Amino acid sequence: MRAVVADDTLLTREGVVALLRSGGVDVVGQAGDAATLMNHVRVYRPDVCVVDIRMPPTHTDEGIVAAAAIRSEFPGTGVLVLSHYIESAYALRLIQDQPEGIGYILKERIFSGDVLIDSLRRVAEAETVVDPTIVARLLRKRRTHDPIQALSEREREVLALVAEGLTNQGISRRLFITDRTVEAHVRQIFTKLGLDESSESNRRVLAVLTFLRSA
Amino acid sequence: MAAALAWATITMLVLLLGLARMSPASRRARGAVWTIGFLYLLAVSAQLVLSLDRGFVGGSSTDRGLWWVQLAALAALAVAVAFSLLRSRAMRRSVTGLVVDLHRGAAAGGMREALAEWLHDPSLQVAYPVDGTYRAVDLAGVDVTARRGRAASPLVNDGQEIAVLVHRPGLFDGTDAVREVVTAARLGLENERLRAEGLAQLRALADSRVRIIEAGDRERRRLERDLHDGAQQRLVGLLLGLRLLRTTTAEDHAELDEAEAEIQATVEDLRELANGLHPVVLLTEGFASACAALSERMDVRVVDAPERRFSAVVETTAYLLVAKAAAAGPTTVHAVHDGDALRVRVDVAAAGVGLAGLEDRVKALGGHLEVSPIDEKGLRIELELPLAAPAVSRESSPGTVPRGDLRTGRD
Repeated sequence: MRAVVADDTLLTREGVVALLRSGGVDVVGQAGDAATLMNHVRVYRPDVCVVDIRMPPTHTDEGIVAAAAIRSEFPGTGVLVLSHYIESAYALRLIQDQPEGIGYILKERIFSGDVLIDSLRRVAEAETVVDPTIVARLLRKRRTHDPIQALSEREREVLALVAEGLTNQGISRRLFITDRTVEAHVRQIFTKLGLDESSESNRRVLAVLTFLRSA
Repeated sequence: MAAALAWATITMLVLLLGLARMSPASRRARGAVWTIGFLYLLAVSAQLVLSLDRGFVGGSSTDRGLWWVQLAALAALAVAVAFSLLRSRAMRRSVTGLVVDLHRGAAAGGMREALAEWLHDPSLQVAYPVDGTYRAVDLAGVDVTARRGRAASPLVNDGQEIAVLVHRPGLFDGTDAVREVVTAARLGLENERLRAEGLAQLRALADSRVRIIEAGDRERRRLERDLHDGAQQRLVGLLLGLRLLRTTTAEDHAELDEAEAEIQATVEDLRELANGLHPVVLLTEGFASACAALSERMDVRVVDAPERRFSAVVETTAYLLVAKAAAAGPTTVHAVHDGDALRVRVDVAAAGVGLAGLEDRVKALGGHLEVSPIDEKGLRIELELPLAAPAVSRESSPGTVPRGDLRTGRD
C-alpha cells in the first residue's frame, strides 16, 4: 500500500510516517500543507492519504476541504483524516458527498493497536471509517423521542459498528457471529429506526450518522 | 404737481420690482402692505394725472371717488401694517413658547416642526454638527450640500455654528431673516444640538463595549488554537515516540503502558479544556451545530435551532447561554430566528445558573435576558439578541482577556 502523509507539525508527521513504515506501508510523500499534499497526490498517485484536519492557514478544518478535493480529482485514492476533535459534525461533513474510501479517526487512537494500519486498509478498500468515540457519543445523546431505546443490547452493538463503517463481514468478525445473523440484525435495526436499508455499507453509514445526529 | 406725479410713479415702480423680487417668506410677511401701498399710490397717481391739465386738485365726482379710494387704501394700509406686526409677534411668541417648552424637555425634533411651520417650508431639515458630520437630532445623516432645489443656511451664534437649515431656495432673502431665526430659536437649537451630541457619544460607547467583547472572544479562540497547536501536538508526538519505543522492545514494560495512559488522559483533558474555551465547531459550523455537539457530551436536548449562521458575537453569546445552562443541569433548548433577532429559550433543571458575565455581554449587544422559575426545581432563561448589533465586525484578530469558562460556566 502506497501512502502520502500530510501534517503541518514535523514531529507528528515523522512519527506517523515511522508508524506506517513499521507496519509495512510504503510512504511515498510527506506534506505540510494542502497545496503540497495535492501536488504529491498528483505526482505519486498513492492508494491512500493520511491527512491531519488542521492545516494552514486557519488550522481548523482545512483537512476536510483537502480530502474533498482529493476525492473529487482522484476517486481511486482513499483519504483518512486524523483529527483532535470528537465532532460528529466534521465526520459527517467529510463523508457526506462520497462516503466510499474516506475515514475520520481521532489522532490518539492510532496508538492503540494497529488501528492506524487497519483503518488505512479499510479506506484503501473503499470502505468508510468513523471513529468509535464519535459513534459512542452520538449513541449516548439525549433525544426527545429515542427509538434507540427500542433496540436490544445486541442491536445497539451492531448499530454502533454500522455507524463506524464496518461491512457486514467486518461486524461478524468483530462480534463473532455469522454473516446471516448480522444481516438479520441490520434489517431489524433499520426497520425499527425507520431508515431505508441500503446494501452498500457506505451509504448506510451516512444514513445512520445523519439519523443519530438529528435530535 | 408734475414732481409729485414723478415721485409717485417712481415709488410705484420700486414697489412693483420689490414685490416681484421678494422671497416667498417676505412676500407673505410684507406683500400685503406693499400691494396696498402700490394701490394707494396708483390712486394718487390717477388723480394727479387727471388734475395735471387743471393745475390743481379738484373736487369733481371722479376726484371725490379717487379721494375715497385713497382713504380706503390708507386705512387698509394701516390695518395691513398692524396685522403684519401682530402676526410676526405672534409667530415669534410661538417659537419662543416652543423654546421654553423644549427647555422643559419636549419631544426631540420639535425644532424642525416649529421652524418648518414658521418658515412655511415643510421640507425643512435641521442639521447639527456632530462628530464632524451633519446629523439630525436623532443622528440620521443630513446632506447639507446645497444642490438644485435645496439650499443650506448655517445658523451661527457667537462665531460658533450651532445648526444648519436645509430648505428650499429663496426662503431667506437676506441675512436679517436668518439672524431673526437664530435669535428666536437659539436656545432650542442649542438644546437639540447637545442632545444630538449626547446620543452620538452613547452610541460610540455602545460600539466600544461590543468591540471589547469581540476582542475577548477572539482571544479565547486564539488560546484554543494555541493549545492544540502547541501542547496537544507535543503530547501526540510524545505518544508516537513511546509507541515507536515499544515496537523496538520485545518485552512488556508496565511503565511504558502507564506513561501512555497518562499521556492519553492529558490529551483528553486538554481537548476538554480547549473545547470549553471555545469549541471549534462553533466557529466553523455555527450555533446549531455547536449545540448539537454539546448535546453529545452533556445532558442537552436541542429541540429547535436555526441552521443559518449569525455574526460571531451573536453565535458565541447564544452558545454561552446554552453551555452555562448545561453545566448547571439537564437542559432543553429552543432557538428561533425571528426577523431581526435571535431568540433562545433554555429550560434547565437546576436551582441557579451562573449568568453574571453573560448579562453584561447581552446588554452590550443591545439584547435582553430574562430568568423565570418553572417550578421549584427548574429555571427558564430567555435570551433575545438583535442581529444588527452596533459595530459588529466579522474579523478575527487577537484581543483582551477572556471572561468566563464555557465548560464549567464559572466566570
